[in-house]
Amino acid sequence: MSTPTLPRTDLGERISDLAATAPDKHRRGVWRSRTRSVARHVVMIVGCLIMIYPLLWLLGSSFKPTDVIFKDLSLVPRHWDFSNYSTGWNALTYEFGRYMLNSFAIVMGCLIGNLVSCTMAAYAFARLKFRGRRIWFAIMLVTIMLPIHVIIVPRYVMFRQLDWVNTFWPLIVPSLLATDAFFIFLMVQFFRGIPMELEEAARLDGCGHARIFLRIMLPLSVPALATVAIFTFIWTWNDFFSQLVFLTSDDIKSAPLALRLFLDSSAGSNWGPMFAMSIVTIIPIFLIFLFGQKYLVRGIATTGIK
Amino acid sequence: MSKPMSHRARRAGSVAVVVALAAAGLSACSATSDTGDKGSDPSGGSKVTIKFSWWGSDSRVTSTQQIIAAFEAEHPNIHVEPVSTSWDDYFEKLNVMAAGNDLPDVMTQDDRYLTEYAARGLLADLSTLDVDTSKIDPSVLETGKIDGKLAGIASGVNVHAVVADPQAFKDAGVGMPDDKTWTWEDYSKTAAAISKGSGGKVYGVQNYSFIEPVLEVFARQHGEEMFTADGKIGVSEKTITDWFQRSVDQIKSKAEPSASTATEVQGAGVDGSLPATNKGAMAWFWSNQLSAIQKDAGRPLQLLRAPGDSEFSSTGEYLRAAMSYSVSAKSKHPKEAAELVDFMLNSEKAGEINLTDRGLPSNMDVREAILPKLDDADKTSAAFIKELTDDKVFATTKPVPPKGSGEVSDITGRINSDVIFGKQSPQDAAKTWIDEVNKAIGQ
Repeated sequence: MSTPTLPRTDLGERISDLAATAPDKHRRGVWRSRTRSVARHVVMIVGCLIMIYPLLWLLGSSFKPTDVIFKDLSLVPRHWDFSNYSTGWNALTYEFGRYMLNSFAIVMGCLIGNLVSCTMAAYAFARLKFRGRRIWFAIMLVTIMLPIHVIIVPRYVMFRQLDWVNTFWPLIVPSLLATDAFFIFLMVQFFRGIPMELEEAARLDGCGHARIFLRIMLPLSVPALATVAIFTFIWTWNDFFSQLVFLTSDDIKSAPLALRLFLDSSAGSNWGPMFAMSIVTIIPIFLIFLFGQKYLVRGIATTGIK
Repeated sequence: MSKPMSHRARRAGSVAVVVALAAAGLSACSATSDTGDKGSDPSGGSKVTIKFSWWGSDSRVTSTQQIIAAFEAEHPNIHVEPVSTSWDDYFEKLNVMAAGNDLPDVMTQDDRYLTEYAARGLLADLSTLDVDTSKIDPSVLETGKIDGKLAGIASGVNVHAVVADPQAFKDAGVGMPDDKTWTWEDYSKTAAAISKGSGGKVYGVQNYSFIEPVLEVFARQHGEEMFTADGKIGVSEKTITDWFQRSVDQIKSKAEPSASTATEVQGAGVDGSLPATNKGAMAWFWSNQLSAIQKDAGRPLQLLRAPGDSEFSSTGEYLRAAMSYSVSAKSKHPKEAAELVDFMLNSEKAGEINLTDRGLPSNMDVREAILPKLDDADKTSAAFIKELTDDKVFATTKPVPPKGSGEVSDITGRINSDVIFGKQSPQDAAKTWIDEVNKAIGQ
């Protein structure tokens, strides 16, 4: 991201070079760069429109009555019908807000769980010396590659023994135990980039591991923490399969599960209200992305490139 | 299934550690989120809790909850815990529950999975339990018997037939065919005439070969079965070739939409189908879907018999269980589970709430009782099924499909795409189809 790679000694020379050649090439250069940037933007805007078209169609369709959604494929509804939102909100056994709140409860649990447990695990891998550290680290990395379908059955058996099926615990407790190896890996990479000197100075001042972790490491890793938080939010919010397996009764269903209740492939589906509620469900993700993306970019840039 | 189990055994030691940690974690953050933990029943006593699972949208959730309430009122000692998901996710969830040895006491089954579950010993033999089957249509009851055991009882029946839009026929200036005598040739000609007569605005018929029911009808007309009673493919390569060939020919004659439009329409489901959007005169559907299509279409539709019934050696249509009720072999309360199944099948009260939501009731008395309460489209399909029953169209019962036949739909859809886009000839497609289906059913 940053550009401190230009060798300093060349800089003055290049500037004077540019200054010398600039006047006669000035106009053509400006025109060329301008047309080039206009062309580039046109291409990018068209690309964006193609990418975002399904979303715009979703938004447009959420304002059409169900029976014209597939007959009239225009983006902008002929006449605006806001009733999908009110019917969709009230169509299911509980108000849709309840399912949203359920999703929020799960997300907050996972968020706190991942932030606490993954950072602690990552600190241990990055800074502590213990026997078999490399092997444990490798094993931890391998778990990234385990698909959910492999671990869901043992998980189900375990949580059934605990009588936790049909509660939020099976979804939240794993993240309290740092099972999300991707986040541990992300944090380990970040911690490794923090200079040892800071820690040594702290140790000289009498800090133990707990204090170094809390006072030195955490404040320095805000971008990485934000990345973990944002990704946890998005992934948990969009998660479907584990919620499908563990949540059964209607009152604790999450928003993605509730959305599926509008659909019935054998009989008619309630497309209008479902589209409306899909829009409602996207809003939190959209806001998180809107306000969090600068941290997201910074977090990835600082952990990925060494 | 043995793989996850051994995995589990290996991890037994670590599970203990995890549990201990989880307990610590719980006490540490019990304030962070509130859960809907209401698993244990505070009333306790002699009340028995059984789980009942089904698929479907929210309207079925509501009606089923009413049925459960009626059941609980009659059986105050039983509490029914509902487990419901949408159709697409139902068997994913049920498979995990089966692997976790935690199947619901009473579950709704689909005939594509019934054999598989029964073969794995997961389903109880309902004939040994106290369920009254005396009023159930005997030919329908037969469809739930696997290896001599009654693994499931059909809640209701459907028939695969042609949904036709009389208005579209009229607009195109084409007369309605006599469905008692029409041949497959008539069918293709009628469809082409409609496309032509409407000036290309309305298609004659929607492509039929994305899913397999019409192939089953076609095979039965030729005296074949898709699957024989001993679990092998019974349909010949020639029949499959002819069946795919008709799709190719009809696309060429513009009787049905182009390959890309057909794919799009197929993906849009019931609501996006040609008759539902007034863009086609005919399409093949299950009789219970007529109601939804008619609602979308906004005008009365009809059901027509399959063409070719009088053309070949036998009739093709068959009654299919819309869904079946099964009881888990591992249920701790088989008696109570059987009571619920009995109530769902035989109680008029349940029938009146259900109407045709789970197919036209398989219990003949309940079917008679609810008839006056049905909407127009459902009355049309009920009358259609009655007419076909009286004409002995469903003379032969269809063998229960073998284990693995759940994949046939996917296989057929995939191969059909190749056929209609011209990547495979119908002849090659038939060969591939037989190959892949044989693999799926483990032959």
